[in-house]
This record gives sequence, C-alpha cells and structure tokens, in this order.
Amino acid sequence: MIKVENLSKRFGNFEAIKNLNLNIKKGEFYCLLGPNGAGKTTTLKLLVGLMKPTEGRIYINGLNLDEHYQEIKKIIGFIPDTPFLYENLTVFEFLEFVGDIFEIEKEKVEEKIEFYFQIFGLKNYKDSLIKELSHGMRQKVVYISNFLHSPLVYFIDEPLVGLDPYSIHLIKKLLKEETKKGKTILMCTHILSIAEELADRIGILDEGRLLVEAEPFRLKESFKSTSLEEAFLKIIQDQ
Amino acid sequence: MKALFFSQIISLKNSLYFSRRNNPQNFFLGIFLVISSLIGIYVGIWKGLSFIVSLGSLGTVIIKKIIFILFFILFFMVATSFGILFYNVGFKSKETQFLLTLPLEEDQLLLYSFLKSAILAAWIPFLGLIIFFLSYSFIGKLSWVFILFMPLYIFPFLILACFFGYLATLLIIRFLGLKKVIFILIFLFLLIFFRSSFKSSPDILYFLSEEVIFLKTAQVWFLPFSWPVYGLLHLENQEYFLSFLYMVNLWSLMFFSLSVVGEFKNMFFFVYHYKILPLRKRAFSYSYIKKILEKFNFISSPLRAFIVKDIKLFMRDSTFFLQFLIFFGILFFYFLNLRRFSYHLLKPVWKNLLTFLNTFSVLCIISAISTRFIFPQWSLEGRNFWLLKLAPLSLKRIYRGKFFVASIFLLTISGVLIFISNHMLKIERFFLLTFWIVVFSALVLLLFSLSLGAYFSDFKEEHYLKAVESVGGFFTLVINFLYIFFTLFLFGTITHLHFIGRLKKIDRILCISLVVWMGVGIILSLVFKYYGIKKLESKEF
Repeated sequence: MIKVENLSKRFGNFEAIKNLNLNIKKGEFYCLLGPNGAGKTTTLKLLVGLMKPTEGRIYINGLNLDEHYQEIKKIIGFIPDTPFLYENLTVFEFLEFVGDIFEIEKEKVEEKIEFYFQIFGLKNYKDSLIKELSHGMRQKVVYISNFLHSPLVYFIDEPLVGLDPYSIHLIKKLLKEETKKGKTILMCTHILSIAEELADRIGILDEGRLLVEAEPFRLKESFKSTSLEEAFLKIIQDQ
Repeated sequence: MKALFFSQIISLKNSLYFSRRNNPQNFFLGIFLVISSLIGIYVGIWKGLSFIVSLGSLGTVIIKKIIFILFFILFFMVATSFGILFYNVGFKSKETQFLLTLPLEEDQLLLYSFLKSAILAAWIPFLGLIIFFLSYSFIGKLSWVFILFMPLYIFPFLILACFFGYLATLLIIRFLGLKKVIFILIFLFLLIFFRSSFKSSPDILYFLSEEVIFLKTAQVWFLPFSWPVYGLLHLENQEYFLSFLYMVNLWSLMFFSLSVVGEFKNMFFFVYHYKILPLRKRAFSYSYIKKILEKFNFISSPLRAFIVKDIKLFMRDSTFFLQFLIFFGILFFYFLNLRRFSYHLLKPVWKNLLTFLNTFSVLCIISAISTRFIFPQWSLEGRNFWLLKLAPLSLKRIYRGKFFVASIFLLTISGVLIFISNHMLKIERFFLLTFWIVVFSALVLLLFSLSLGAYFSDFKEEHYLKAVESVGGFFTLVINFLYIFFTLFLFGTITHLHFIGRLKKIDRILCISLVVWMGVGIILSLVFKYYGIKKLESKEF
C-alpha cells in the first residue's frame, strides 16, 4: 500500500532523510519510532506531499505520488501533531466543510458527525468556535474529520498528544478497527508502549536513517530485551 | 526591554541570512524588486507633481493643499492600522502570554508591544513620505537642509499617529466594543452627510480652499497633523526658526506620548484578563451563504466548501470587518466632496483632467481594497495550509474559487463607484470609456493581488495582516500603482492632446490603445498567476 524507494530530503546542507526504503502492506499498522529530530515528521510530510523529496520515489496504493497527487489525496488521511484548524469556524462547520470537500452525501456526513460527537463527548461543542477548544478537543476534531471520509491510508503524527485517558482508549480501539477493515496506518510516535500495543511492524529511525525494521516481538528477541523500551535504547545507543 | 528588541533584530538578521543562504536567487530578486519599486514610486510621484507644477501658480497651491490633506488622512490611516496591529500584537498574540511569564515590568511590556506595532504600522508610510518629499524637493529645487531635516518632521508625526491609535484602541475595547463603534461611525457619517451644504462654484481654487471637506481642519495650527506640514513649509521658505518650533513641538509631544504609554498598563491588563482572554462568543451561523451558493450548480461541492469557508472567516474576523468599514468611510468623504463639485461649469480641458482624476481616485481605492483584502487571502490560511494542500482539489481550482468570490465583490464595488462618481460629476464624454477602464482594471488588480499574495504568502506569521505590511504587500501596492499610472498616462495623454487641439481624430487611436492596454493587462495577469501558483505548489509545510 505504501512503497518508498531511496527517499532523501535535504534542507540546505543538512540531510534530514537519508536513502529511506519502506514497504507497508495493506491493512498493516506500521509504527515509526525514533528520538527527537530523527526525521519522523519529515518522513510523514514527504509521504503526504506536504514536502517534496530531494530524491526518491513514493507510491501509495500503486500510484506515484508525484504524478497522481490529486487522486492520492482522496484516499489518504493525515493527523498532524499540532492540529491547526480554521479558528473562526465552528466544530460542526469545519466537519461539514471536510464532508463537502470530499463530496460525501450531506445525510451521511450528518449521521457520522452525530455518531462521533456522541462517542467523543463533543455534543456540547458542536457550535463552539474552534479557537475556543483545547488542544485535546482539536485533536478529536481532526480524528473525526479523518474518520468522516474514511481514507484507505492514515498517516498519524504523535497520535495521543493532549488526549485524556478515555479518548486515548477510544482512539486506539478505533484505529485497530480501521486496520481490521483493511485500512493501512503509518504512525510516528516516541511513546513506545503505544507502538508495542498497536503496531504490526516497527521501524526505528535515527538521524534520517532507518536502523531496524521488524515485528515488536522480533525486535525484543533480536536485542535480547524484555521490553520494547530496552530494545529501543540499545538500538539508539549502538549508533 | 533591550533584550526583547535585540531578539527581534537577531530574528530579522537570521531570516535575512537564512533566506540568502537557502535561496540566494530569490533573495537578490527580492532586493532588486524592492529597489525598483522605490524607484517606480519616486518616478510616479515625480511625474504627478511635475504635471501639477506645470499648471503654474494654481499648481503650487494645489500641491500645498494636497500635502495638508495627505498628512491629515495619513494620521488617521496610520492610527487605524496601528490600532488593528496593536490589537493583534498586544492582545491576541501568544507572544504576550509568553512575555507575561518573564520577569518584565508591565509598563515595559506595554511599551514593547507599542513600539513593535508602531514599526509595523508606520514603516511603509514613512518610506512613502520620504520618497514623496524627495521628489517634491527636487522639483522645487529646494536646499539640502530640507532634504536632510525632512525625516525629523515625519518620524514624530507617525509616532503621534500611532499613539492616537493606541489610546483609541484601548478606550474602544475597554468601554465600547466593536459593535458600538460601528454604530457610532455610521451615525457620524450620516450626520456629516446630511449637514453638508451644496455650493456651486466653477473656481477650482475656491473649491480647494473652501469646499473640500476637512481641508480646513487639516490646516488648523494647533492640531498635530498640521505641524509637520507647517514645519516643512517654513523649512522650504528658509524660515528656520519657525520651522524649528514646529519640530520641537512634534518631538516633545512624541516623547511625552512615549513616556505615558506604560501608564495605561492597568487599563491594558484589565482588558487583557477580563475582556480578551475569557472571550466566549456564539458564532452567527451565516447558513444562508451556503444555501445561496448551492444555487450555483456550476461550482463543484468542494470548491463551494472553500468559498463558504472563506466568506465565513471574513465575516467573523472583526479586524477585517473594521478595516472594511474604514475604507467605506473614506469613500463616503470622497463622494461628499464630489457632491459639492461643479464639474459641469468647467472648461473642457479641466473637465477631461477631472474625469481622469476621478478615475484615478476610484482605481486607488480599488487598489487599496485589493491589496488590503485580497492580497492576504492565501496568508489567511496560515498554519492551516496543510488542510488546503491535502484537500483533493488542485491549488489552481482553489485559486479560481478565491478569484470567483473576490471578483464578484470587487467588480460590484468598482462598477458602482465609477458609475456613481461619473454620474455625480455629470460626465458625458468618456463615461463608458472610464467605466470600462475601471472595471477591467479591477479584474487585473484583483489578479495581481491574488497572484502576488500567493507568491509572497506567509503561513508562519501568527496574524495574516502582517503579510500586508510585509515586503510582498508593499511590492503588490507598487505594482498596482504602476499599472494605474500606466493606464491613466496612456488614456489621459491621448484625451488631453485631443482637447488642447493637438490630436484631431482620437476614436481610432483610443480603440487601438484600448486593445493594447487590455492585452498588456491580460498577459501580465497570466504571468503573475503562473508564478503565484507555481510558488504555492512548491511551498513546503
């Protein structure tokens, strides 16, 4: 579903991503781990087209990102770590706006909004301006906006920042359900427990280079560790 | 305080250094554009002033009156611009929240916000006035003393205008609120409109001295907006002592104002903590906008969503809305003056001159509206640009959507303006020509502003209005004015030559000129559009 070939990104003399290769299958939950400044967010931005690679090719659902960007945008969803949204729109108006952009039927949009408002506890915020929401609330709005058009591939950057424990539980459950439906998820995080719990496969990135890539249990086995945290620290310290 | 300004200077230095290092081509192109813009403005003002001077002693009187009006209008324009910027820099910015956590005195923090907003609000008028007086001094062959000392009159004047804006902003937010201000402004406009009397006089000098609204007020000697003008006029006449007195007045009042900025800290922090921070308002839905747009079947649903979003954001942005109201206030006084003018009594040469002066005024208003409201349409997306870029719509289609909304708005304003003003002046000849010039120019200026807004878009700035005050905004204003000068020079010259009897049959020449002019407008618009969209597409987030 996601194929990355020899991807590099340079900012002036600084090389943020170095010759990255990835192959993520349909329905897979892939976690990209790494310390701060490893290049996780840059990788995500390259994969969704918010940045242009210096070198390399990206394929989503078999389509070259460079050549079929408009078609690809219809099948991907992006959840950034800092949810910048239109401050002067209400929550409902923003979600309605997303529904219109993705040309979803009005009734279906309203039905879905109702459903997600219910489970996320946002009913009382329907007519509130986004600028009045907390970080966690905004994060919920971004999740709902993505679930609205149910993309084939989700790109998620630091998925649980600012969310309360109930919402964290809910998001994890919803994301798992999405993968069961055959949706692919690429998630960047530095919360190892989340990655261990959710990921089918983990990639560890440091200084723009993919160091290892394996299932969580294999990583622990290979580095003779009892937890993913221990394995992660060994990998990073070995560098 | 020093550290705060030092950090601003360092960040400016860093942004210049990194833009030169990361993209030297664009950096030097930017410098080239700024320098050519300044030269363009200089030449434009020089040409305009030379023409007025060529009218003889009447021209000299007109220039003096123009200078008084210029300073009068600038005083309130800068004050308004400052008020809007201060509201964002002081009250709305996250920087204030950060600064409040630092061990800074509250009055120092306030003075910092004041000076920062003042620099942003006044740097373009300062540069504009310097260029204006440089042209003025070269045309009048004035001494080097005038050139050397002239900035010393302009600088304190602009700070005083900012201080006026500062007081007005604090008082309005503390005691009135935006709705009451809008109501009061409308009431004042209507009051002045109905109280103004009609007098007909064919004498231009009489009209300028007695009939132009607010010209008398602009010349009142004890009001600060007249001080720089009197000071400069005395300096021009080499009456150094009198000139010096006006300068001392300006500087002493400026220092006094700066010294009391911090004294309003109680009012500022009361407003900040009890009026701005806890602001919770229920948004008016404007649901009818979507319903109306649904009638336009040719607009696709995604594009419609963007249009509705843009209109709602505009309606809910109080600073945007207030600026809009002020523009209409200026327009209102323009029409008030037109109502008093006895155009039909003039000689044909003057009639022609005034026809094109009216067209020039209307185009200036359109240019100001397009630079102020249409140029920041892309920067308005701010950090939400990722939403725009990831939407399954090409940027070209979004450009078309923005163009569609803006063109309805600008074409309506421009058409109504030129029609009413031509009608009020009872213009018979060239009514249709000037109407077409304005309507077509409105479309060209709109495309210039939208495309250059895309090219110079800044998504990282906390408030999009800062984009208008940036180099890109300044450059757009210059390009718009160069286009206006080119347009009026072309048609004004042809018709003027006809009226002074040096060009007999002008119909054919006018037709050819119109085709060439439209061709130039279309080509330039397409070139700007191409580069604007290309730049947007290559933007990384």
